[in-house]
Amino acid sequence: MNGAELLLRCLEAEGVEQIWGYPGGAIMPVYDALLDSPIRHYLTRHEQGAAFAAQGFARSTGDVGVCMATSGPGATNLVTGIADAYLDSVPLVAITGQVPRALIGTDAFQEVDMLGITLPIVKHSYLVSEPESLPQVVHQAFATARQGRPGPVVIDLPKDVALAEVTGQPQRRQAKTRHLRTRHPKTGHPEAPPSAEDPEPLDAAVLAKAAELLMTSQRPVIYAGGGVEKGSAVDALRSFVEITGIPVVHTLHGLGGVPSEHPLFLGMLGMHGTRAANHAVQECDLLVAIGVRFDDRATGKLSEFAPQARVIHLDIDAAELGKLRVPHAAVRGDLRLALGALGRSLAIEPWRQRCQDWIDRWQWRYDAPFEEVYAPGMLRQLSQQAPTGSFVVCDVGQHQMWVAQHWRFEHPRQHLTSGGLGTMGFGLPAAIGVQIAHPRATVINVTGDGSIMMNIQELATIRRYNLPVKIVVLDNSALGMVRQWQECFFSNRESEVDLSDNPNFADVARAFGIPGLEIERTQQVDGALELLLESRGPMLLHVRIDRQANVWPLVPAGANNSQMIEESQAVTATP
Amino acid sequence: MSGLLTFDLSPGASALERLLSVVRRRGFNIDALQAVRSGDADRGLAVELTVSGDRDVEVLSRHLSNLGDCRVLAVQSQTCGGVDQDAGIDRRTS
Repeated sequence: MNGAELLLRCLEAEGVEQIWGYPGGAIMPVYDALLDSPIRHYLTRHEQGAAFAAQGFARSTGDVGVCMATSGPGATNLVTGIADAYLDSVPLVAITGQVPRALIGTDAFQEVDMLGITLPIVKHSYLVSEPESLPQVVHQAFATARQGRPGPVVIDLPKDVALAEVTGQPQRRQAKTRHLRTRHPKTGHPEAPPSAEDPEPLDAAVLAKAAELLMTSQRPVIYAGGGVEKGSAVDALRSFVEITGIPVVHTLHGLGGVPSEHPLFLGMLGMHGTRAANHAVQECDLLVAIGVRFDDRATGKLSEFAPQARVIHLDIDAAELGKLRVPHAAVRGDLRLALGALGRSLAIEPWRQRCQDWIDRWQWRYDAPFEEVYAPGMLRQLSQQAPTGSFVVCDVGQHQMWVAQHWRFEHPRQHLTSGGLGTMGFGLPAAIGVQIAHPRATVINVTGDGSIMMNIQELATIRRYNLPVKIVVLDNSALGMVRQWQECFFSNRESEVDLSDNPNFADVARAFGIPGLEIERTQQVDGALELLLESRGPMLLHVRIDRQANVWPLVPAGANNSQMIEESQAVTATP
Repeated sequence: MSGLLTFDLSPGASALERLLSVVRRRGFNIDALQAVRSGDADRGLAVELTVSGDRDVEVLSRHLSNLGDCRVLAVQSQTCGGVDQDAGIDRRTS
């Protein structure tokens, strides 16, 4: 057995059943060994596509995604996907080929310092210097990727290590970590109770302080983010909301923590949040921050964020506590335990009523009398017609915010979006990973005309494996979000945002062997969505929309969240 | 704000490289650094690091604690209260 074969056996021992990747010189021993391995390899058409497909698998299952590439450009093409996983706390193991050990540091062909390049964007990284260390390295890599706050790990494998004869055995994945595969009986999503084996009990004194803050609050708001889903704490959050009756706002990655239709859900907060959510946070006297990192897109001007609020911050990662806002009670640990310990009934009916009034006052409207397709309305309709359990996978830009605002979310794991890094090109390959992980689910990639061109080659991957991904391209013939900011904050001076020479994306899809349909009128929407959702295989729907359509409301950069502007208030200002 | 941090690092140059990368990225300057071979059998490095910056050294130490090859042994820091907008940190507490 050589190192490459041992590597694959180690991956099998970690429960890996599929890898996304692209072969090349230094990783060839592993690709040779793959021919005799039960692990299924999915060939993408660019290494970045492999990284995002692995992310799609990881984000939609909670388990570790694995991608692989050769040394040099193959490895560097993974870097954006690795950084994206780091910013969004996605468990990912990236395996890269490396030149033989004797050539490392000699500027050999296709040699880059992958360990050095990725230092700031991984939880950990390994350059495998001895073949015998492979079992330990792989085991530690997977444990690191999935434990605590998840994240990416790089394993850089020199070619001679992969070719060396070895006698080691894989280290077995601990049974404790298998709970990620356990499915919730109702939602079908992985959701595990706190394990008796989980170490680190919560700090009783801090819990008592948090309980006191809860009991003395008149106007509390729950501010819940992606950490809720990452900590398998969606059910715990929902129970906490029901017991306490506290109104909820979500970050982009928190959406679905409580269902969109829940009466206590105020919407997403922040730059493109709802008026109800932002007003409630600015007015609250207690912020229960759960699995959040006080990201600037959520907080607006930090020093004026929730200005009257005391803060209880719950997070698995101690480094988030006090990083940007010093909490009055910092609860570090398992969110399920913390939420279970803090649930209690609160007498806050006047505040709940006030929040409800805001919800009622600022409802979205979908009655725009346009002949052109109104994107928010179409997305709302699509989310209502999509089968229960459908996944929506976004790219980055205006369409991403419209999805966040108008989609009906059931569970955060069904909404995949690049939040931290904000990577255009994420959506299409990520949808591939989701579809492979959930072959019977409806997977919808909502993308823009700018974003889809960043990884459009992955249409070939969809065709190759006949994945029934539904692709909706909202085409405004521009880089819409940048154009909107240039309109609002740069005196409407458009700079390099024109995409009016876009191809017909339906024709492009057909060229890849995927059915395509193009619409541009409101009256075409019903039929197009019906065709899209009923198609048994992949399909691309090219939707032409108004070039000038903007995302509202908007909190300008540097403003506080009560300073939202609507279309009617849009003024030219300095960013 | 300044602080003195002491660590045990795993063997290998990458551990020290990773540590210094975090210190820089989290907004601190390095005022002094001493790294010597640890007396432990694994022959890692024992590191004493003096840093300064606008942010809380305690938070830096928690970031460093997340590194797989770094064990934070002690942190001595000077902190202040109030809202520090320059540092981008809101330090209001009761």
